[in-house]
Amino acid sequence: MSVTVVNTIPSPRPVDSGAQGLALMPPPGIGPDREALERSFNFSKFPKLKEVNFSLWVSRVGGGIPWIPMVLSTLSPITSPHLSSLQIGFFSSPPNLLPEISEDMSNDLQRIADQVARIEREFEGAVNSTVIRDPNFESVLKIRFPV
Amino acid sequence: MDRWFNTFPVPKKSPAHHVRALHISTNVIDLLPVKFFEHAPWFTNMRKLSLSGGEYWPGSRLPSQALWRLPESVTSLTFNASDGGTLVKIWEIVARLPNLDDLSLQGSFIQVNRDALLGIRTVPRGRFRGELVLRNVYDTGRGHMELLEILTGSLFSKVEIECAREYIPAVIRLVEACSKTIVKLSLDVRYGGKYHSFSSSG
Repeated sequence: MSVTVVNTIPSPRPVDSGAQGLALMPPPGIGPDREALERSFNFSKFPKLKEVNFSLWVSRVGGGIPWIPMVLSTLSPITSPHLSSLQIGFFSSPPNLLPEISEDMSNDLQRIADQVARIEREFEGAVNSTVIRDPNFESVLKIRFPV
Repeated sequence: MDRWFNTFPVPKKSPAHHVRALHISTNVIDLLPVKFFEHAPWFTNMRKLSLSGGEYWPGSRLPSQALWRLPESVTSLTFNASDGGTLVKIWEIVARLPNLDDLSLQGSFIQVNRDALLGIRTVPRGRFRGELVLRNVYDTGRGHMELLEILTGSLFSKVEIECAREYIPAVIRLVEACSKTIVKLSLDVRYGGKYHSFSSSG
């Protein structure tokens, strides 16, 4: 498998200007709170989980999407016995522009592909897994997803 | 609804108590929803209420006192407005419905000020054991972060959220609180650039 790095963007998107007029402290999770952004779910503590859908609309990403491979790594047949559907979608936004993918993002996409492959293998067909890529996104990625 | 009110001018004698689900949609300035809310207490068995509209959405025009009169039987509440009222006003409705399980907010809400933010911190009375749908959670300053914090601790079984990546930590906290009950999780996350509304059709 290979990864094409299209662009590297070192800093996350700045806080939206809409908050500036409120004279409030930034709420939790807003701003350069990298530690908070790297938290993720622990699906091993979600015993009733049946269906998971993640859709990502990307124009540019700085810092990657570590929470997604992190959460996928917590899915196992023992702790999620009812899981039957996993869907992950990658879409460029706006639709007519190629997304800019940072190196961190590319690495995380590779980790996502690896996790999807693991889930398919460990659940032995019990999970209907789908990875959707729109054509613009596909053109800047060389990662092969298992589905 | 005009026909309804013409046919049953006396709410007490109307079959309102048979109504289980009601959808109100408006795209023009229209006082009819106000009339509905005046009669709302007579819909004593209404479970599902949906309000949708465009620029002149009823929720942004109604006095709060009218909204308080929604029947407590409501278990499912949906707001869908392309240019709706503030989350504060909506929360005045939500917080007073003790049997509410499903909550769907799909609108684009007006910026809230500091005083209004204090109001949104009202503790909800609802059960919130059903489905939570939040769309257009993109711009800070509209009260979405406060809404996520208020709802954290509820035991939803289905969660569907469309948000900017800055909200992910708050979404994670909300979802983790539902870890024992959640069956379905859908996250639609936007990274970078100008956000576009994809959710007006709900």
